[in-house]
Amino acid sequence: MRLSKKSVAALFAAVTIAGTGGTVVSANQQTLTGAGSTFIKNLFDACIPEYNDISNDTVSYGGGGSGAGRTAFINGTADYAASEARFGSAEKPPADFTYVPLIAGPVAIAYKNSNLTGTLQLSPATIAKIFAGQITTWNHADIAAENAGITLPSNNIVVVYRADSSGTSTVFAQYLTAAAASIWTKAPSGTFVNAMPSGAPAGSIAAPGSDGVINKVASTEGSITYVELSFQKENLGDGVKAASVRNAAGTYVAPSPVAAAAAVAALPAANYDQATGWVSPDFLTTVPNAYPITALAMGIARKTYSAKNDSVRDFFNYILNTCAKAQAPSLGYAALTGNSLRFAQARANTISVVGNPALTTVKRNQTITGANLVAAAGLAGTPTLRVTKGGNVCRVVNKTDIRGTRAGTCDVRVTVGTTNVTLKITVTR
Amino acid sequence: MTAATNQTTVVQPLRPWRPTFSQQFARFVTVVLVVAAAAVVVLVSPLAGLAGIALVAIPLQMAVSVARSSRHGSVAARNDVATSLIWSAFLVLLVPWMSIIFTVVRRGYQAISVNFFTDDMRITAPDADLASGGIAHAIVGTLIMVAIASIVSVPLGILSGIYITEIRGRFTKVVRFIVQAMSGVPSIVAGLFIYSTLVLYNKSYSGLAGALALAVLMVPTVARTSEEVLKLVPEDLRFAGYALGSSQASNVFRIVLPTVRSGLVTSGILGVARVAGETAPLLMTAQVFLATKGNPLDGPLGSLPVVIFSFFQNGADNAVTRAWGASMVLMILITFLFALARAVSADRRRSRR
Amino acid sequence: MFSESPLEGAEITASGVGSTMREVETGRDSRNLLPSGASGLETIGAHAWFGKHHAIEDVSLRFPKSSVTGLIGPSGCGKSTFLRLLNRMHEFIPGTAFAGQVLLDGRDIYAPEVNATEIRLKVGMVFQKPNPFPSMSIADNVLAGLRLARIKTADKYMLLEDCLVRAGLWKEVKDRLKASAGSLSGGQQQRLCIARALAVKPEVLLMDEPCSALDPGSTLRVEETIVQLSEAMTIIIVTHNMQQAARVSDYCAFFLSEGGPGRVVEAGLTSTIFTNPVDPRTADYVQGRFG
Repeated sequence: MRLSKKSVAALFAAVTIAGTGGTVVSANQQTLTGAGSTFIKNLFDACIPEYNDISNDTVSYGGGGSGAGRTAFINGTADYAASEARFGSAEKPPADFTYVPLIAGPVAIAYKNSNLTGTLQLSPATIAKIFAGQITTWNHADIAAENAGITLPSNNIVVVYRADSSGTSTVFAQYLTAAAASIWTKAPSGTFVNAMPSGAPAGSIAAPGSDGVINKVASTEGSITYVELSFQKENLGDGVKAASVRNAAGTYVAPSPVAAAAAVAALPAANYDQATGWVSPDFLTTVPNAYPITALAMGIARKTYSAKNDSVRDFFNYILNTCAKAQAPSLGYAALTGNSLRFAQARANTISVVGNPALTTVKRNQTITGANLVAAAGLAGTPTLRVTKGGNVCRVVNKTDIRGTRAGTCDVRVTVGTTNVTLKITVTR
Repeated sequence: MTAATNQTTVVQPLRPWRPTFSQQFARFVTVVLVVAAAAVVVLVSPLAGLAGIALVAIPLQMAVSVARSSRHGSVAARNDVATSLIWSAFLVLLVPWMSIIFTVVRRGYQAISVNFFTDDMRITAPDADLASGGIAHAIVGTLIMVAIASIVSVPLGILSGIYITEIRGRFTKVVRFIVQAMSGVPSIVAGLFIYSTLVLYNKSYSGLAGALALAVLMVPTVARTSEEVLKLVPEDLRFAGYALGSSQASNVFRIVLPTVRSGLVTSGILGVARVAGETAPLLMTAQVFLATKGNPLDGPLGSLPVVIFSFFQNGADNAVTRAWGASMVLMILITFLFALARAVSADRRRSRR
Repeated sequence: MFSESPLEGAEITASGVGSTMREVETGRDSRNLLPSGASGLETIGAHAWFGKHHAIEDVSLRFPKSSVTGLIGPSGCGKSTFLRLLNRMHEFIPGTAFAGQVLLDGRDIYAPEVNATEIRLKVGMVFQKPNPFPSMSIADNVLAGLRLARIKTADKYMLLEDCLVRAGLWKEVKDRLKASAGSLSGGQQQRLCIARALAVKPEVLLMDEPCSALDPGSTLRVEETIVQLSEAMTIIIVTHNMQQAARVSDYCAFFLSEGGPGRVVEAGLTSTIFTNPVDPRTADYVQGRFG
């Protein structure tokens, strides 16, 4: 074989050209980089290609865990992030961020025990005792009391938990704090070992990522973990089952999209944070058919206008309005509906609007709504408007709208509460 | 000498030191019998599987060798024991190696199709039908990043090898210590280093960052191997160069380096082999990207190890098959790069002859 | 950057120079001096050390132009060390030191302003073991010195042929100049090394037992080459072969180390050294009674 420098170079070029037979991204299309929750990753894996297909944008999602996603968003390396946990007090997110609820999903208590037939039923207290290391065998009296018809094997319980900073861990620890406060005495944390009342139980195993813990459970007899439902479903064939969990109404509910949707639908108004867009789960839901450990995965994006952020908004809207409905049930998620969906849509539409020239430009004899003006000013609520300059170019109509009267520019002061923002409005012919 | 004698005494070239066919056949039959006997033992005893067969067959084969060759004396017997021991060790090593290749091929072949090499995952979900989508983006990304990493680290590594073996300057010990310390750096730390410098500074993941993280890992391998290779250059050759009025620089670049060219190519190959399958540092620096692109400066860049990782993470059957397929491609790619580098260095040497 | 002298080198040099000045007066007697003539290369009170070991002591020799000088003496008497002093190859061995003077055309080659590579260009060397460059062809080997020292020549092919002819190798290799140097036999390789040394046109050629690894036929060829070459250049050859010394050299210097550092016992016309030496130890050695 005679190979010269040239032939090597030609070969490399050939490989590169063969590669470009795929889709090539040109400069005017947006490429979005995302990172964060592994809880939502399977939904993103399904939705991103669909969105890329219809939009010509190229969205990617790197996963890495909620904590890593929030950090990447703060550092500016990610254009959007996903997380089941809020920014911590030590984290310094950009001032113009917003949460957008994207999907709900049950956190399953997944276990593997070949000698245990039937479905395990667990109360919050029992779950807390297991993960705190106070119950160490499968035939413990507390478990037996809740599972009368089932023969319980006597082998040891192996607790498997997330090693990385995880939104699922936060949600699960929050649930235990809320539902079994007397046993789970430590404050919730994304790093689960920090939230365990007396540290990691003897013989427990830490694994990174949702896939990491579920693979550990699938390969470890007698193990138990907490994980997003779709990961449990994928490993059903390996004997990984999900326990039914007793909710505050006293009913044992198996994790399912429907049971999670019931929990989300019943969320009280107080759980919707109008300031940031955060939606807190209700672990003490009294709806009989609601699964109590239901997590909400939040998208995180920026309100400031940019071409990239426009694409992030389009992407989030696509998930909320189209993709989640189609994909969620088969993946084990609960798509948002009703109140939660309306809230999420409103939040998504606050992305990329601050300083968006499209919102402050109007044709002669047409009006800009107050909602758009408030959005463009980066505020929320009902505004008071006043034209401070160029009174012959535009005027206030219907108290909260602006109508252009002739071509030119005018300044409008938008006041919500005690905050004033002056916008420059352009009126065209 | 007459024509007649020439015709009658045609001498055939012989190889009397080789075992005859019947000897080889006997040896083959013995091995087959030994393995069969071992299999029978495994069937009737609590031993199980291939490991059990090996456990019985290896000592049995050695015993048979001793019995058969003892009539040629103890030296021959010892030689035969050593031979069967070495062959057994070779086979024992071959088993996991073959099993890796076999597993990757068995589980990955379904993913292989034309579109697997020409298409990317931009508009294809990981669990979508295998007839759509592919890993072109990852192949191109890996080639780009490995190429840049090599361009950066091979000269650097060889230069530090030259510093240690040729220049032997004041910092030789320091350089060697640093190289050794660097070779112990976990790959994730290399990734973290580039993340906390280049990625955070640019506020963007990039193929270049990935390549540099790989280069950090590659330099010590290349430096250490090229140091070992350069040490093999006889001192005589250096003296010969100096005696011709050569400066140190031309001595190094025109005599020492050409003498060990193939060794230096090998050091580069080892460096590539060290990094081509690295996942963790690329996740932190080049992150993931679903479309094919050739620009390592503009945002994230896909790579084979990272797509393998994220396909496995997805967990769906088709995604896992894709992961195995991509693993197969990665293995083939590395093998191909090895062969290429070997061919290039061998080619150069032959053309000089 | 290579092999800087150890710190104590400064002191050694100082005392060495002192002793040289003293010895030079006595040293200019017949014992340590070759017959006068146009001298291309000359040493005055040369000493060499390997670490603490004093290897050669107070060697003052003058090498006339267009002559062959044989350096003879038993193993370990410092002949090769002395040879390496003459083109500054000695300093490549770590921990070595030197005192005295080596004059090439009247200029001290160890003077601080002198560039060692320039000296090695003028004083070529052929080593004991043939050491052609394995990565190069036969032709490239011969012309290697030009490339290494960045010398330009009008006609490379002429030079190539000239050097190979003078080294007595041309006939054997003229049809395979592109072949690897490794494909030659040991004797051919050594003659290739001689051709390589000739290509940079040195004034002096140092040969360190050039025939010790060669068969009698090759040895004969190399010896013929030496005699031919000596018409145009100064040749200094280290040899253990008395017949060879007698055959090829015009002058001889007999080195001896009697427990201490190596010294020159006697130097002079080869015929004198072999037939009528002054020192009885020389007579014993050349007649094969020891060594």
